[in-house]
Amino acid sequence: MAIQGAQQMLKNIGCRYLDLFSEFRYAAGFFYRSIVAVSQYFYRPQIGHRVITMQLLFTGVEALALLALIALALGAVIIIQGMSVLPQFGQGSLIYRILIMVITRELGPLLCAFVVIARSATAVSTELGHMVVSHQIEAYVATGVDPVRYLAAPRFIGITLSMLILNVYFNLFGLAGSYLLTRLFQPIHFTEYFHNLLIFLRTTDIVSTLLKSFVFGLIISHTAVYNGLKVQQSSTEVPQRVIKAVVQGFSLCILADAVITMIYYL
Amino acid sequence: MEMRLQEVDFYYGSRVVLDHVDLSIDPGRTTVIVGASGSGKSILLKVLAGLLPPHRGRVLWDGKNIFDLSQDEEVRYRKRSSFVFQDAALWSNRTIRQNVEFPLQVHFPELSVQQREEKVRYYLDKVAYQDSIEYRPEQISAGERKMVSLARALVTRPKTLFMDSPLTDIDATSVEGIKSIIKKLHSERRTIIACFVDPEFISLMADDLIVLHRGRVLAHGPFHQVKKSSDPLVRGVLAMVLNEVTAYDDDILDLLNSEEQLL
Amino acid sequence: MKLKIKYAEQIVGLFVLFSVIALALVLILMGINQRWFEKNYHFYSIFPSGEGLSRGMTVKLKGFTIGAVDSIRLTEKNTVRVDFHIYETYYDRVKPNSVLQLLQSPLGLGGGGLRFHPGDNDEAPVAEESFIPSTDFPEGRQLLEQGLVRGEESDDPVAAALANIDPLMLSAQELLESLNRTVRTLEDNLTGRERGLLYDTLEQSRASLWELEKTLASTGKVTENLAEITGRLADTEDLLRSLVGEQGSLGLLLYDEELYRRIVGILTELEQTSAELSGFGAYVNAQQPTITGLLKEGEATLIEGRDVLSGLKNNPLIRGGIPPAEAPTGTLRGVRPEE
Repeated sequence: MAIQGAQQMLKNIGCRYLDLFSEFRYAAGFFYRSIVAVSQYFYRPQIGHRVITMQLLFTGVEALALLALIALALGAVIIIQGMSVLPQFGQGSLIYRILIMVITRELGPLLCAFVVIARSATAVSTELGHMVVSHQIEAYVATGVDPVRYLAAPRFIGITLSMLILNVYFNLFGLAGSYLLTRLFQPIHFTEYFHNLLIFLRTTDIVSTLLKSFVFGLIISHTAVYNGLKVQQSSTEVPQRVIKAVVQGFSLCILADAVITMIYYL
Repeated sequence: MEMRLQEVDFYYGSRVVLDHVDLSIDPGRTTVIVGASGSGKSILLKVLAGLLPPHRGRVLWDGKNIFDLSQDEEVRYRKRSSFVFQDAALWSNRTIRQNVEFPLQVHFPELSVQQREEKVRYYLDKVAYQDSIEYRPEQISAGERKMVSLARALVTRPKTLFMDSPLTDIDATSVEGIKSIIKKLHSERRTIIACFVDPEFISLMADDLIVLHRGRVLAHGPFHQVKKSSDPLVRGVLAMVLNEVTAYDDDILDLLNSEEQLL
Repeated sequence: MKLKIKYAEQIVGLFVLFSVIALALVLILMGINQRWFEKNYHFYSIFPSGEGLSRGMTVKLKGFTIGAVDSIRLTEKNTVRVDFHIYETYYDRVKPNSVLQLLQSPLGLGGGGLRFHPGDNDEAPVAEESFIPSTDFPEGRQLLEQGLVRGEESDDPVAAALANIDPLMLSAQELLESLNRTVRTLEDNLTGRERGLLYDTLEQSRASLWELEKTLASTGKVTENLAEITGRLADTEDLLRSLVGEQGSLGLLLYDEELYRRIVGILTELEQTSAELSGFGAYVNAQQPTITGLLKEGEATLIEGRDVLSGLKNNPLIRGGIPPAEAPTGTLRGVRPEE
């Protein structure tokens, strides 16, 4: 009896892992198809340009206000805190290093990713999930339109591009905007601040931050689109899939962040 | 266009929806799939139309597996076929006009905006759609949506039409209009593969009949031949769908009902 | 919302365009500020250790960044080769006899760097890829000591203060040691354990006294002779006359007033010197324990002071207590504004 129970347990564990493995393989295949579709998108005439525009509008433009607020607050806090502590050690110039490290290299891409996941990944998953449930995806297939190319690719491009652009804006607001905000409390010389910032800013910082937001963009769009299209029949699956998209998006982004940072310091 | 299903299996989780389906459909004929609800009619239709890939077996259009076609080949085939969904499946982010126009944009990019507009209006008139064409699908009734979806299917003038219960949800006055459209398509010898529930209309329209029971094809052939089948299960299904009850079939009907409950 | 959808293309266009322009602008400004478009002159130096050296470390002259480290590698001779470049603007400062000095912030918070000391001459700049000696090797130190290099003081107040502690400690210790030595010499001289200047003086005095004794002894003989001669005088008036006569030897001694006074003078002087010497000796003998005690006490205090300063130097946490050169003004100082 006990042996049978153990066998059953082993079988269950095995099945679970096989399922997990096959799901991973399926997701990887879907990712590959999406990337192929994205690359085809640029040289094959398509009707989906408007989808990219709208995706940029919803994911990029509309998230700008929130991200600007976060960036301004973060930058100002770093400047004010750093200025009150660091000059006491004669290390006032460290403030620029810290600003660049926190805003440009680490938190910029990550906070953009969080905001985009919260705002857009959920929206995309919900939209696509509902499209599956109401057979709109099948309607596209029946019309001869590949849903991966027509629905997934523009969302991939839109979200990834939005991530890149939002990251640039986040840095602008975090580094430049916060300077103006800080000026209200403490006087900092304009040219000195920006000159030093530009001296300390390295191309590797810019490459690293853009690489991160690009990778995060791919991750977010993939998890959002994949989970949205993974809905099968009922509308109750939609919220479950949205939650999965958010959780997977967050965890994969943090994982990718760690990996890229490690590569940067290798 | 000849269509064939070879050894097709389809599951929903552990539930078998299609079980070793093996059939071929001749072009220019109207084939009606009948069966109790939950017997897998819609799935069979979608697998045939190449919308759902089967878990096993092949779906052949003119001898080619529809799921192995190249992008361009698939578009060519899709241009020649259309699908009318049971729940209309209009694209909710498009207006009525855009919904009908979209297949034209995909398959006839050479048409001018004006030509497209004319075609859209023509087909919407044909299905007797009367509301504003700038409405979104959620702003119109279910019946109207069904009409629009029919217009969307017809706008490319397909040779093959898949129809999943096109007459449900439509009010009585509109039903006649749509029936006449289908009759016209039938008379034009277009290939129609459909699920109907109206027994009279099935009798009138069907050239061929596919009798489906719990995912298995019980009978497939010319309407009159299938109707004369001596298989008790076939007779039971037909009795239920076509309201042709015979004294002989009573036991079968009970049998079927109990089986339905088991499902 | 309608308006936003209607003008979606324009809004998105602006959104994308502005970010691209901003990024391009930042890259251009970075290029200008970081001298991407200027030529760099490359040199190398050898250090005994790679400790404190890093890639990208700045090379500074009078607080101005004039270059940076390109690469560091361990050579086959187990020294560290540092390749660095100097900006075009400052290439003319790289005169012969220039040296490179590695500064390390005692706080361990960075801020260390390579300091460039240009050669103190008006010759043409050295050729590219030349060797610039470091002060960690005798070659560079010699250049500094010989005054062939324009030196400079550290501008970090903390580092400067700490850097000054070591020489201070050293000179204090030297002072103590020399004092100690003096005391010991004095003591040794007095006890006769060692021969110094004082010992020599004493010895000389002793020698003079001994000679005097000898002279006096011989004078005794002369007196004895004189008595004998006087005895004999009874016999021979002639001899007496020849002896005591103005031209006789004794007569010379007895009648020459000058000679007599000189002898007496010498004797008086000798007596005085002897008395003074004996007085000084007694005084020194009396004071010796007091001086020794005083010096010992001073030495202990200085050693204690040195320990406190070493503790202070080794503990960065207490270091916050050292007041900065000036109160923080809120201005972010680090790199000079107009380099």
